[in-house]
Amino acid sequence: MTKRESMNDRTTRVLTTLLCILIGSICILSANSVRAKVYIDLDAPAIEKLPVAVQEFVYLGDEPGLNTDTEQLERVAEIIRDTIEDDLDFSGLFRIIDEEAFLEEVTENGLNAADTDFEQWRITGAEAVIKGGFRIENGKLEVDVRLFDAVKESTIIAKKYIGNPKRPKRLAHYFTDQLYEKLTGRKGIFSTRQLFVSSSSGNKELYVSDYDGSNARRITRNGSINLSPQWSPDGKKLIYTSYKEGCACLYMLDLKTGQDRALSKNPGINISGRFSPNGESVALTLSSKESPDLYILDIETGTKKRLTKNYGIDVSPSFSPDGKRVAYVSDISGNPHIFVLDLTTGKRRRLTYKGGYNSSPAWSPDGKWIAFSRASKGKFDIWLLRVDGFGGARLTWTGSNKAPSWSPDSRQIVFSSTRSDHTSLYVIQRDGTGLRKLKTEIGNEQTPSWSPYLN
Amino acid sequence: MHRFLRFLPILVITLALVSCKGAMVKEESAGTTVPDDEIVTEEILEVPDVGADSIEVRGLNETASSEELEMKAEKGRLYTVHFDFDKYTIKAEYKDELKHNARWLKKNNGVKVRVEGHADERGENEYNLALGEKRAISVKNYLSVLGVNPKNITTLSYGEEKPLNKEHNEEAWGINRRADFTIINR
Repeated sequence: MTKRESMNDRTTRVLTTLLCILIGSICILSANSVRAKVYIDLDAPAIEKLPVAVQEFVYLGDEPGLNTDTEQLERVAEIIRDTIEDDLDFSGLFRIIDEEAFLEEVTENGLNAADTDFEQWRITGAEAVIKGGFRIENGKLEVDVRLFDAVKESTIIAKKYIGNPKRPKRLAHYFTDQLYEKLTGRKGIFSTRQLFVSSSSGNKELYVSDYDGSNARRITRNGSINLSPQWSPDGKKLIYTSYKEGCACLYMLDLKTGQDRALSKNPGINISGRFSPNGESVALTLSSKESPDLYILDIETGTKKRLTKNYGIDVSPSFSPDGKRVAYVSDISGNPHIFVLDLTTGKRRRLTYKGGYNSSPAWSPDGKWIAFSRASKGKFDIWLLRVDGFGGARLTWTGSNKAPSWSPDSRQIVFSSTRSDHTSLYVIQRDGTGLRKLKTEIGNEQTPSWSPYLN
Repeated sequence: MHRFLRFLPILVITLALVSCKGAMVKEESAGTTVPDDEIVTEEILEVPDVGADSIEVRGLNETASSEELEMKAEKGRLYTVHFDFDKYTIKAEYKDELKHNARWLKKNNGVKVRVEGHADERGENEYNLALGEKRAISVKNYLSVLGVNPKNITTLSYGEEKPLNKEHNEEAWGINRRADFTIINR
């Protein structure tokens, strides 16, 4: 037997083994999916909203004494329920049934399936029912929650969540994340965050909020200009461009320790930094070689590699989720258009041909879409394109809409819009439905960045 | 041309007023009143020299040294140049301003200057930063063609972050699309 034949032989063996493993895994996976019922199929072409009823949360603690702040208890009950309802509504997958229609009385001992009159719930149209109670014990908030299938009269979730009594919202988001995963098979986004710039303090500073815009708080106070903040893939750090040292330099801020260090301080501009999917490097635009070009900077070693080299502008990179390609904006064709650069081959492909001004590409985390903003008659709108450049869809029609950023589940897009008085942040579903304003209420908000999953 | 002549008296009056206000209006006078005409540009060029120094001195004589005062006055003679929307090519009408800037920089060889590029509010933030940088680089390159030592010139872009005029109209945008000069040290 020649050496070549034995090589071929081995290849065949390896391939056969791989095939067996593949078939085996498919069998196991499909067996699993038969077992766990998916209530909402996110891959279905059209999704019918699941009608859900959320009952008032009852206080399960000791009889309120003289020192008990009963108003606080009422507030906690309200926040938990409102948060769950808001989360479910935000996802666009649920129809919240009006409390006015509820028939079952709220009782203190009726949290379990056996105590629940499912027929009364079905009359209200509910297919899922959420009930719960809470107590504050040893300085901890304990929330007991049930999720029922009202049709099958079965319990889907029965869990106790323990946390900080000052942050009942956080517990509620955590529960909705689990509910979402149970019902759809995918992770929920309700514990994720938004990062953005606002100039309401008189300077452009960075802010972080919950995914829906609530709890917005300022995280920089340098009184300078801070721009383009972006999350690291693990959600623990962020990068941003700031003029706080007199240059347009790129900084990395550790959200846990508060440590802030300069990542890139080259002459000219150090802007539009984006973490690579593995978090080890940053793509950015530098102008030290006389023209704003794209580079990749290794965070650990500080070495940088030049990605583009032309007379024009190359800016706003966005990695594909596998880290092998980068979408970016270039004016090499005369005005700003979106291009995709293959990092392995170095080949460049033009993605947009229409519109005089295309910018801010954002590659969806599932790898399928590129969202961007396109201007016509001076106003920007959010557009989607498939990665192959086809399937263009316009998502916004009012005001000027810029800087799209994807939710980690690739179902929603956050962007800035001038549709009301101030520039504010809005969210829209990928299919163009479910537009809503975030609850930030800071004013003059721009360039949002949606965090990865943080739980 | 006829249309232009109709406006000439207004311009002359404007220029006269501008002259009275002296150095205070130096940058606006390069941009606000005069968008796109060579003749006007020529006349504007005369403006800052009238009374500019004396006003600067009056405002600062408590604290500033004479050298600093001289610097302030000279800085007033480094002209701002303006650009078309989404463009970073130097317009012919600003040739004289830049020649003047180059002459001054060569005369004061050793003065380090930073060219700061700006964009109007339209367009996107990051692209505008790159665009402002391109504008600053264009000016730097042109100055070095005119014989200024490129080592004395650095660039910085503020994109759309530092508008001179905060209104939202063509006139404001025209004023804000610019490259201006900051003297870093001597």
